[in-house]
Amino acid sequence: MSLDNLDPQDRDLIYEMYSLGLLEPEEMAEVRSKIEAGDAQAMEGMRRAALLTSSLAHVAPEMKPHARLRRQLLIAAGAPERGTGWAWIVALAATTVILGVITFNMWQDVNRRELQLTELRTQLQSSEQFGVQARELYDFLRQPSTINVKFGDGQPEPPKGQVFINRERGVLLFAGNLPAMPVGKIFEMWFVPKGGGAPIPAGLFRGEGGQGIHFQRGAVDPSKIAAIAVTLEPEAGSTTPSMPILFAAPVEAE
Amino acid sequence: MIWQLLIVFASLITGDDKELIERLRKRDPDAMADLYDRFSRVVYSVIFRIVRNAAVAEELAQESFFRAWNRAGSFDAERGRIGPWLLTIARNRAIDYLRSTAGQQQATTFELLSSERISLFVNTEDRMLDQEQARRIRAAFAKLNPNQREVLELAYFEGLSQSEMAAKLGQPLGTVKTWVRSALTTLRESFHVA
Repeated sequence: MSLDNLDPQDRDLIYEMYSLGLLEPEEMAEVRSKIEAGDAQAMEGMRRAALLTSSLAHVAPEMKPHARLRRQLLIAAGAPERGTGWAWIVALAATTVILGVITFNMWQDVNRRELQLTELRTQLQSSEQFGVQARELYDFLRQPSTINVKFGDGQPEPPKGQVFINRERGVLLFAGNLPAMPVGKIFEMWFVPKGGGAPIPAGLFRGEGGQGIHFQRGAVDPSKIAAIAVTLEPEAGSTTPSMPILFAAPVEAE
Repeated sequence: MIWQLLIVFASLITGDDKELIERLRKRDPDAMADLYDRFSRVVYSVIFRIVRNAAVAEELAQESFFRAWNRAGSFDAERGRIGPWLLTIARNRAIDYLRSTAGQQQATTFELLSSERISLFVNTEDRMLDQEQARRIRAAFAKLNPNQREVLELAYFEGLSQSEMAAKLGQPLGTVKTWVRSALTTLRESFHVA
């Protein structure tokens, strides 16, 4: 084979086969000697051949190398790795902290609002209870059958107040100038029956600032009660008075 | 500083070899990163297709980039095109590996090295590495008949000689030579016309 005697297309073929390593040894040697001699025609042919045969690289299915290859190359070349490096860890940590703070604040806010809501619910329930009680007491007092007994008037050292009695609904006591409740003690109201029987327990109540209100619900027969009395008793209450009577309001049923 | 960044950015967008070769010649470490970012996929793909082993492919890709890094000083930034050269290095490293594992290293190493001569890559077009060119070569390759495709793949990706192909395919040497010649001729014509 002599490259010089070939037509241009055959020469191109020879250069392409050379670049793919497909020539026979003697053909290889001839092309190589021309390249080494810097033969212009051979160099130009080889450039075209290299362009074509190197393009075959694109026939290979595309693969992505592992990231460590880039790291290794850059380290070996002495370049600081441009990429994320530790930056992503710092960014992740910062993001986590920020999200944590936001979450914690939101959690605190939710808790605070829940507490406020609970408090409002309690206040509402208390107001509702107060309303129910007020309505109950108002109904009680406006009943024509409710009788009123005052006690302690004109006495220098009270207690004094009023007792309202309704046959169907019960007894309502308003007391003032009550003594302070000792620790472990509570006021207890009693029905003192006519004819000298033992006083009947009629409920416990607390005093505050010398004032005390007690409503003993249930039917009661005023004609059988001689007086409404109050004593100080142990907190659990007593079945019979264990302390002196603080005051007694006589009941005079019509 | 800003101008330098703009130049680097522009070179990444336009694939301008001149600026990259200049930095490689000055052994600017960042140039290695740019070289890798531009060519790592195609280089690794070719090597993997040849050796079919990820660990070996990584090692050979690393060798290829370093070979380019160490020899870039001889490159003429005005005339050279680094992409085709780097691909030739990569393909040769992988074929050399295949040959060495098959005990045939001595016969081909010299020829492989001669195909990497930098002077063969001056005044060539770097367009072979852009996406449009990749599509064109795939289209041209698809026009070949199965026998033609097979012999080109055996030559490019396995580094087989025509005699080795004939033995592998169980075909007469003359038949294989015909397939090779017709394949290259058809590919060249399709490639340049496409």
